[in-house]
Amino acid sequence: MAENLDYKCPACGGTLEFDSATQKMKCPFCDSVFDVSALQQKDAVLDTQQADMGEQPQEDSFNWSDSATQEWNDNGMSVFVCKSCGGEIVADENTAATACPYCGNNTVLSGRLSGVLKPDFVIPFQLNKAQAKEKLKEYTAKRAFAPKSFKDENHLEEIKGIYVPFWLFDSNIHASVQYEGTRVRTWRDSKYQYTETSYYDIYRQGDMSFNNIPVDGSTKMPDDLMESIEPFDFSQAVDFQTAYLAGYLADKYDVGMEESIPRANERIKHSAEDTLRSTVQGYASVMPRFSSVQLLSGVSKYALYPVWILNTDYKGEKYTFAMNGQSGKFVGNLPIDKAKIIALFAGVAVGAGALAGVICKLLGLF
Amino acid sequence: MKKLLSISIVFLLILSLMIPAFASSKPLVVDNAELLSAQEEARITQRLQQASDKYNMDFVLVSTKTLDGKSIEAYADDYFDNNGYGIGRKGDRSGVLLLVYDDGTNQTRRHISTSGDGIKAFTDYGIQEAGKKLAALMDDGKWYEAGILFADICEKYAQAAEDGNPIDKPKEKKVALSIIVIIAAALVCAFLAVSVVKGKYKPVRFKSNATDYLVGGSLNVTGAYDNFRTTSVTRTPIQSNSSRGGSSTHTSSSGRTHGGGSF
Repeated sequence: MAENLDYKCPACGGTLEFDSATQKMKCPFCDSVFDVSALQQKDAVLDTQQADMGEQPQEDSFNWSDSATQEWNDNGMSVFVCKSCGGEIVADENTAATACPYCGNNTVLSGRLSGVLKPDFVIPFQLNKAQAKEKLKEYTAKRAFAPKSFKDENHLEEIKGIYVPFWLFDSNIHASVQYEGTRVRTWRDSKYQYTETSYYDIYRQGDMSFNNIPVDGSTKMPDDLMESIEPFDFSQAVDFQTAYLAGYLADKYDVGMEESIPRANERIKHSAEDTLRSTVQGYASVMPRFSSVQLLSGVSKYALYPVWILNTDYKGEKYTFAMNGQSGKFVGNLPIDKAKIIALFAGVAVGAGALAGVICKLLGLF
Repeated sequence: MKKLLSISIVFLLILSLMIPAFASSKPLVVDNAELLSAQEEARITQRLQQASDKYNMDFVLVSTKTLDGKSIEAYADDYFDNNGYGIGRKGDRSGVLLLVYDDGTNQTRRHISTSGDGIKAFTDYGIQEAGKKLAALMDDGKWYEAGILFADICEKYAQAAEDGNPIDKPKEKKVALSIIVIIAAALVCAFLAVSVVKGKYKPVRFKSNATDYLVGGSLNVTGAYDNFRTTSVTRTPIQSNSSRGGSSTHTSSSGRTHGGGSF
């Protein structure tokens, strides 16, 4: 049987949660507040004391080493026992933190983030559920063409805070790009209008560095959605501690670092072209013709980034909204009300047609 | 005695005020080619004088047997300039001069020269239209009728110009084009609006680059060149402005701006 752990309040024994507003562990029952690192130290001390007293440690608090060989069953699902009520929690192999379906107790599934799977960094949630719900309401309220029934049926309560695994790539690169540029000059005499186009071969090479380019390491999260809520500010990242996961869902990566490299390379290449392009000035048009990028040095890291997610079904289609749990950037595709869009089409057509008619009349075309 | 003096000063002042009015009262009909009787000349003069007074322009009819070796346009312009025609500021003297050149052969040539406000009143199109009617009478030797018609035309054109609608080329009606323009504008704008809205409702997309994560100041350009390769020139004919209305102008030998046209 797999093991899970949760953080008990030293004051009342309730399960602690990570509070995004104070960036501390908070007991929802007695409102006691604990510093994340202090809690970790306390746990460590407790463990040592228990070991010294020759007792069997009651909680497998931070012993990650052998947990990768937990017994999985055939379909990748595992069973955990809730520390609070004893209920059995079934979770898939990538779930690292979840809530007990029986008592709602937040729990971190040990072993899922240990060993090589242990993240290097985590950006703790900066925005809480209430703020996420507010953002979603704002987002749909602003979009008048979404069907009213879609807005009404949104189950705001189901919005979930998830720590999404990301691979972060640091790189120093050397890039060289060839562009074709044009300059255009026009003049006229009494009979002709002349246009002179001059073509230039432009070349730029240079070095540049990128830090923490994120690539989504979870197949559950759509990659385009994760890139849409970027950027994440890595300066707020802290060394990973399991305690940050309390109260949220968390997944471990199921897309390896090697598999994530091509996407990072693609973005680096485009960035190099765009960045060197910004040093080419004084042309009417500039088109890249050839570019080559050499990686001088590259380092990858594994981090958990905070994302609020809401999945909804509407008329058989799945809509997923995501909010950057750090910056509050909210993104999601919305269905469009057919009747409203037809009304828009007709309205604009009539308006533009009438305006064109007035202009034609003023020009004396009819 | 003092009273008499002051009355005579007032009289002189009034007289002096009237001088500018007399100053522009050059003969409005100059029949050097002897096409009109004295009576006809007097009647035409009277009509032209009325029109000139009303619209503050000199409307002049001149006939000649010689052009002194100049083009008919140059002769008409110079006659207008050199004989002090035109009402208004110097260099912008308003007036219209109809020159009839009759060298005794069957063919007479005619030219209308315009200046100042006359240029605006007599557009290229207006001159051609007036020319057709005048030529028809003149070709029949009806010089008197032509003279009266000229006075009528001057009044009509000046009045139209004063109303802000000079006699000009009627704008071509392009109903079919209008319908196409209206439908195209309606469809293009509607599709544009719908696609903008659809785009706003599908904001989820991949980021093409990673410039958000470029380390500030890390760009170090180590090599660059901009080499000129080739050039190409294309030319497109400029649409002639024959379809447009308005008045074309030129500069006379005295440096003044004239409009006009021959017929």
